[in-house]
Amino acid sequence: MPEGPFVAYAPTASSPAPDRIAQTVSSTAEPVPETIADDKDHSLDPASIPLERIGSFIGTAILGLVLFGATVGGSLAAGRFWFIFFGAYATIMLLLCLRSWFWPPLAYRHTSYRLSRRGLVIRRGVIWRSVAHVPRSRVQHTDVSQGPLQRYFDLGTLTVHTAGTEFASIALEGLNREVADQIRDVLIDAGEGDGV
Amino acid sequence: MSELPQDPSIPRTSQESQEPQASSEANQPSWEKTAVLEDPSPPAPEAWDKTLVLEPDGDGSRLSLPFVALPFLIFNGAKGILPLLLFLLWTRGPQDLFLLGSATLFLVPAILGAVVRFFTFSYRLDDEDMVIREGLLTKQVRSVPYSRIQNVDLVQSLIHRWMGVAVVRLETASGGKPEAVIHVLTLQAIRDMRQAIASGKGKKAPAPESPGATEPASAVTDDPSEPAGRLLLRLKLRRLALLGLMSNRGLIVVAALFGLIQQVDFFNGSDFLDFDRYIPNVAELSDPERFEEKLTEMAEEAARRKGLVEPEGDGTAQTDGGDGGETGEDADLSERPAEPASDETTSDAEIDEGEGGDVSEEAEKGTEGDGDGDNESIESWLWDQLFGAVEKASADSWSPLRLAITVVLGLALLILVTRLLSAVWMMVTLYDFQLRRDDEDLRTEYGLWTKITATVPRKRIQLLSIRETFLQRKLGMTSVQIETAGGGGTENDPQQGPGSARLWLAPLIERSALEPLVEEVMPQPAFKTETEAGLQDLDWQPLAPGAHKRILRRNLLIVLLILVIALATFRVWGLLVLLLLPWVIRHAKLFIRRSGWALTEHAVLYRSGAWGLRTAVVPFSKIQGLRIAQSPFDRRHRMASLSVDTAGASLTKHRISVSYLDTEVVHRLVDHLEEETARLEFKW
Repeated sequence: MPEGPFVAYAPTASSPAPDRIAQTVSSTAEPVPETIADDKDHSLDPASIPLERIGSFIGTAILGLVLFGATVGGSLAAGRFWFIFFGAYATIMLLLCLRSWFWPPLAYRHTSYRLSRRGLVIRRGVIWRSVAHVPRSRVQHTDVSQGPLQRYFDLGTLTVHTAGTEFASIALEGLNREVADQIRDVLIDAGEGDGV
Repeated sequence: MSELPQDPSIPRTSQESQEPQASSEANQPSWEKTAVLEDPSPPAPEAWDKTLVLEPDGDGSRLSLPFVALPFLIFNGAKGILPLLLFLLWTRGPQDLFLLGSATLFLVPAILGAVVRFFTFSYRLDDEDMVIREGLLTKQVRSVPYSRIQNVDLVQSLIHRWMGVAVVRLETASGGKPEAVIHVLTLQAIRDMRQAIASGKGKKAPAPESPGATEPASAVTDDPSEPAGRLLLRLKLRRLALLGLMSNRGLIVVAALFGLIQQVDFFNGSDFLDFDRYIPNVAELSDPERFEEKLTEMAEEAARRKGLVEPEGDGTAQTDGGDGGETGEDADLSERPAEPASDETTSDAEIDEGEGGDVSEEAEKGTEGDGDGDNESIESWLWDQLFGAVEKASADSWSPLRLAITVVLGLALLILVTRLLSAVWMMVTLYDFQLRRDDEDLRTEYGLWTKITATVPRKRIQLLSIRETFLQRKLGMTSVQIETAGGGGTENDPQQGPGSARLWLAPLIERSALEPLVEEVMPQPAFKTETEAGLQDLDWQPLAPGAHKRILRRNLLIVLLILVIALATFRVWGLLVLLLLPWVIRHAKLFIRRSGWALTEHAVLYRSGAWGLRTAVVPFSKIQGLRIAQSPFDRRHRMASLSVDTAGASLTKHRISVSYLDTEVVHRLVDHLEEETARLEFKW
C-alpha cells in the first residue's frame, strides 16, 4: 500500500539511477575522491573516544567542584544527617564518572556519516536516534574548526550550514582533520554558486 | 579586503549582506579610484563614498528621506519612553516635577537620535543592488542585491495614509529582523524603489518611462500599492465577519478592553485631578504609621460591611501587608475608602442577572491582581468590593438554580461578546483583503486603519499552509497561508507588519476555490500528479498501522495524569475528568483517519488533525534538509518520525513533521525526497 506514490513518480526509489543524479551535480565539479564520497557509512575517528572522555571528565570535575560547595553547605545545615548529602554527592559523582568513561564509546558506535553524490547523511544518537540528510545542492557553506584538545588529537569539527531552520547548521564532531577538509571540499564543489 | 584604505582615527564599520565580489566586479573603476585616494589626510565628508570601497560608485543618485519622515522618526524614537511618562503621570501625579522632568530628559537623546538618523540616512538604487547608508559616528553601508530581496512590505497607519507616506520593510533571507526598515518614504519614492527591485535595473530606467509613474493619477493617488495585476481574491466584509465569528480573536480584544477599562476606572476612581484630595493621601502613604492605620481602617470597614466581627488582634496582623504593595496599588487602595459608601450600595443593587458573568469576570481579575496580598483584611475588603454586588443582591433569594442560570447566561453572553468583537477585529485588520498576481509577484493588501501591503515573488514561497478549523471544515471553508524565507515571526504586531515570514494568501475561502487558487499561486503545480488528480483525490498515505494504539495510549495517559491531579485537589468531583474519555478516544480515531502524507510531481504534502485539518505543502525545490528521528518507543514499534526542513520555517509553526511512520516507509520516502531535492537546485 505505501508503495503507491513511489511507484508512480519515483522510478529511482528502489534503485538509484546514477545517470539522473549525475545531471544534478555540476559538470564543473571535480571528480569526487572515492575514499570519502563512496555512499557508505563511515565511523568517526577512533581518537574521538579519548577526546570525548577527556572532555566529559573535565565537565564532571567542574560540576563536582560546584556540587561540593553545595554539599558542604547542605551537610552543615543538616546537622545530624550530614552524611546523606555526602552520600548523595558520592553517588552522583560516581555515576557521572562512569558515564564519562562508558558513554563515549557507545556514542561513537552510534555515530556515522555517509557522503554521496546526493549529499551528506549524519546518523547519531544512542537512545534517541536521528538521521539527518543534507542535500549537497542545499549546502550554503561549511566550516572546519579545531579546538585545542582536538588539535592535540588531530581532530576537527565539520559544520555544514544550510538555509533551513532546523538544520541551519549541523555539526559533525570528532572527524579526522584531513577527512573533515576532504568532506568540506566535496560539499563545496557541489555548491557551484547557486547560494544566497 | 586588505586593500581597504584604513583611517584608524575614524571608527567605521561596514556591513554588506552578500557577495562583495559580485558587486565590486561591476564597479572595477571604483577600486582603482580608492587606491588613488589613499592619502593620510582625514577625508572630507563628501569623500566618504570614495574612501569606502563597500559603497562603490553606482549609477543611481543618492536619495534621502523626505521631510515628512522627520516627525515619524521622532515619534518612533520617543515611543519607548512614552509609556514610562504616562505611567509616572498616572501614579505620581503631575506634582512630582522632578521625576517627570528627569523622565523627559530621556526624550532629548531620542529626538536627537531621530534627527541625526534623518540627516544621515540615504539610499541609492543602483543597477543590481540597493545601497543604504546610515549612521553618524559609526557609518554603515549596506548593499542589498535586488535578486536577494524576499519581499517588500508597506505598513501604513491612518496618519501615514493621510500624509501619503508608508513604512517600507525589505526582507532578505537573513532571518530574524527585516534587512532594512525605512521610516518613512513617499509613495512616489516607494514606487520607484519597487520598480527598481522588480526590474533589477535601478534608477537607470528613468521614472517617467515606467508604467507606474506615467499613470496620471500617480501624483494624487493615495494608493501605494498601485493595484496592478490580476485580482485573484477579494474578501467581502461579510466573509471577514464570518471569519471573525469562527475564530477566537475576540479574547485578545477582550483582554485589551479589560486593560483599558481598568486604566479608565483607575483614572476616574482615583480622583486623579483632585489635587487637594490627592496630596494628603500621598502624605499618608509616605508615612508608614499612618499607612498602617489606614489599612486597619479599611479592614474594619470591610468587616463591618460583611457583618462579621473581626477579632481584636487583627490590627497587628494587617501591618505586614504594607510593604509589599506597589505604588499604584497603594494609591488605589488608599482612596477607595474615602468614597461615600452609599454610592457603592446603590450601584450594587442595580446589578441584575445578565451582568452576573461580568461581575464574576471582574472578580477573577481582581483576585489575580492582588497576588501579593497575603493580608487577610485587604483581601476580604477586595472580596467585598467585588462580590458585594452578588452577595447583597442574593442574600435572601440565592438558590442554586438561579446561580446556575446566571452562570450559564453569563458564559453565553461572554462568548457572544467575544465572538462579536472577534468579528469586528477581523473586519478592521483584514479590511478589504485583496490578493493580486502581477506577473510573477503576489501582492496582498488589507487593513482599515493600518494598511499593509505585502509583495512576494511567487518563487519565494517556501511552504504553503492550508488550515481548516472544525467550524470551517463543517462550512466547507478553508484558509491558506504562505511562508517565505524573509523575516522572523512578528505575526501579531500590526506595527511590524504582516506576519513577515508567514502571510495570508486567503484568510477564508470555499474549499472548492482552494485548488485553482493554489495552482495560480505556486510556481509549479503543487497538486499535480500523473493521474491529474486534485487535492481531494490525492493518494494520501496513512500513518503506520500501530499508530492508533500509540496515540490512544498517549491520550489515555494524559487523562490519567489530569485525573490524579483533579482527584487530589477536588476529591470526588475530580472524577468529572473521566468525561474527557470519549472525546479522547474519538480524537485518536479521527487523527488516524485524517492524517497522512502524499507526494505529487513537485511537492510533498502532509496533513494532520482530528477535528480541524492542517495541510502543509512543500515543493521539492524548497526542501533544505530531512531528518528521521526515532525515540525508544518508536523503535519498539518499528516507527520513526520525519521532518522536512525549509527556509524560514519557525519550529513552533506549521511545518512538515510526520510522526508514527513505518520505518521502512520513512526510509523510502526520504530516499525519494532526497533524490528529488538533489535533482533540483535551490533558488531563493
